[in-house]
Amino acid sequence: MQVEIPVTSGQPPRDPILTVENVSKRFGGLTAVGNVSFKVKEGEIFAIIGPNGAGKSTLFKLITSALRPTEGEIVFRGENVTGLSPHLVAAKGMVRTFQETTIFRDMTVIEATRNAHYVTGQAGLLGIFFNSKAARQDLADIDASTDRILELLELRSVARERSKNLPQGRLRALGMAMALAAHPKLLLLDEPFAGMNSDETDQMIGIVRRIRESGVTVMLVEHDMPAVMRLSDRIVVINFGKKIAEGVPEEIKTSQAVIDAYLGEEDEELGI
Amino acid sequence: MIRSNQVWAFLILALVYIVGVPFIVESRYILGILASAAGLSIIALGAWLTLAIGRVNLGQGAFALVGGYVVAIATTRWGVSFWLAIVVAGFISAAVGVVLGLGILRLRGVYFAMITLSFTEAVRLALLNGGEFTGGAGGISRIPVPGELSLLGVTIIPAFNSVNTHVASFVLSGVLLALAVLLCWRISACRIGGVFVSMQQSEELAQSVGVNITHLRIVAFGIGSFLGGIGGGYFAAAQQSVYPGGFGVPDSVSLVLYCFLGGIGYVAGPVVGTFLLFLGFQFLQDFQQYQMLAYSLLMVALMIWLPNGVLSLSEAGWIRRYRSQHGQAGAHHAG
Ligand SMILES: Nc1ncnc2c1ncn2[C@@H]1O[C@H](COP(=O)(O)OP(=O)(O)OP(=O)(O)O)[C@@H](O)[C@H]1O
Ligand SMILES: [Mg+2]
Repeated sequence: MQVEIPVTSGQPPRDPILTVENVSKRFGGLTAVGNVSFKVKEGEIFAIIGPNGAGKSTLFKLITSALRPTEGEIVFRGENVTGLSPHLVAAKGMVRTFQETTIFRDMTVIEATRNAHYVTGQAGLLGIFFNSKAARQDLADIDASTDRILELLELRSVARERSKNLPQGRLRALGMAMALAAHPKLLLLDEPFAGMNSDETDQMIGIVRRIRESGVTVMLVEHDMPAVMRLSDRIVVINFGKKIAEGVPEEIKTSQAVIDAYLGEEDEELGI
Repeated sequence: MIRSNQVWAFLILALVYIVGVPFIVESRYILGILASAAGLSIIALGAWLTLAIGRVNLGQGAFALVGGYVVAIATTRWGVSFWLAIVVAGFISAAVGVVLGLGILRLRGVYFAMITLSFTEAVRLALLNGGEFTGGAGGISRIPVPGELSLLGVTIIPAFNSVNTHVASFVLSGVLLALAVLLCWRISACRIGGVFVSMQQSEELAQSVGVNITHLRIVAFGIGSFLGGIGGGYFAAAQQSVYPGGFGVPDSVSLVLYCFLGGIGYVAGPVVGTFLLFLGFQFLQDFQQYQMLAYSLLMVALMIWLPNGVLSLSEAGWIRRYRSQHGQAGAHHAG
């Protein structure tokens, strides 16, 4: 397997764009996320891995405020955003994609991407209704942005297809297109390679890298280990809701705790 | 996008209907039925706006009652002009809708439908037991017909009792309906309509890209309630009376059926649905006792053969082929 040198090496440390501090989430008696902390630096590709049910998606929902943490703090660009409404978190620049295929079924790809441009506009509802100058400018900006996003995600060729008719690989890309429409600074991808063959995965790896190059910090949850190792600068491993390792891909690959976690998925003793 | 030639086409159609029909139709009875269909269409458009955000709203009857009683009380007790009263009726209904919506718009599906249905019944009971203020079971009668509307001494609208009242009522219903259609058309064609459709398809996804869904649900429901109040206010003046049973649960249900019949994907859907069903039953008087049975059968048939409503026929294969042969553009599709 090809190992890449993380972009962070040899550069001065950057401010964290996201700080997750002692975050826990309990559902009744079940601790889905237990006391997890880590920092994500601006401009990196940061992966969260772990066995099924480890709490990865829950962590993404906590970070983007779709769920409220039982304990702990989420700090985004120096601002405590814990417990803020999800739409406000999105407006501040943190947007996630969904693990399940969640789309605007009956819209075409281009309509769905356009409609997802909600927070980028300047005009208010009345301005939009009366087609004010600001609203017309917004429309022009949205068209340009939609164009750029469809190009970036290689969705141009299916722009006029209905979302519900897309193959799985393209659906993932559409989910990312809609997330990018909110012009995030931090994009959280929940299993972007799920259901893809190796060609589609390669294509998607290229896309994620280009998203990062466009200035967006990327976090991802993924089960496809080879893809994660190729793509990520740093990785956090969680098991049974707890962080068990953090490091660059080479460190993770050789970590005994990680190997145990993946070998003993059924064995609670190894959950640490 | 709304193209300006579509707006012109609509305005001409509306003008032809509003001015032309009274010349052709001499029967007071038919003119009255058409005016009622227009009034109901306004209320149905309100239900359509809540359907647009994915909520089956069985409370439109209640908002029509609220609007009707506001006009009735304001004109008979306080001598307020109808023209002011109907605007106030719209806003009071909207305010009631906003307050109610704050509490219930988190609910979805059958829960939202049930609670709005209960609201229709609750308003009827409140009006029934409102004592002197609401007039109890008998409601409020002798509501004056709309008076003159003048601005700086210039008469804009003549007093209805100085002209043919039936024609004036018909014209009023047509103008109000045209305005309501323009309002809903504009909403669905601008970005707000796109956001409504987004919310209808997945609120969670819409919220994740930054849509303040709580706010927009209230906006949609509030405007829907406003239209309910305007429609109810119109009926109060047209029929010169209001009573608690004027709009009830069956009406609230019918209003939503009208939307489904016409097609909820189209702004014209509720209007087409209302005119078809309401007029259909008025002209088939003999069958009126079977109305609910017929509605039910119709709904089943609709779900099987025309799940997107009557207007979706305009996009059916054979029509599209006809169109492409004749080089015409596709029908306007809302949202
Ligand atoms: N809303 C909820 N209510 C109760 N339990 C929940 C809820 N959401 C998640 N859980 C539980 O929390 C644990 C973590 O779930 P989560 O979806 O975060 O796992 P995951 O790491 O994303 O798994 P996968 O790799 O299968 O997607 C699981 O045991 C799950 O059943
Ligand atoms: Mg998951």
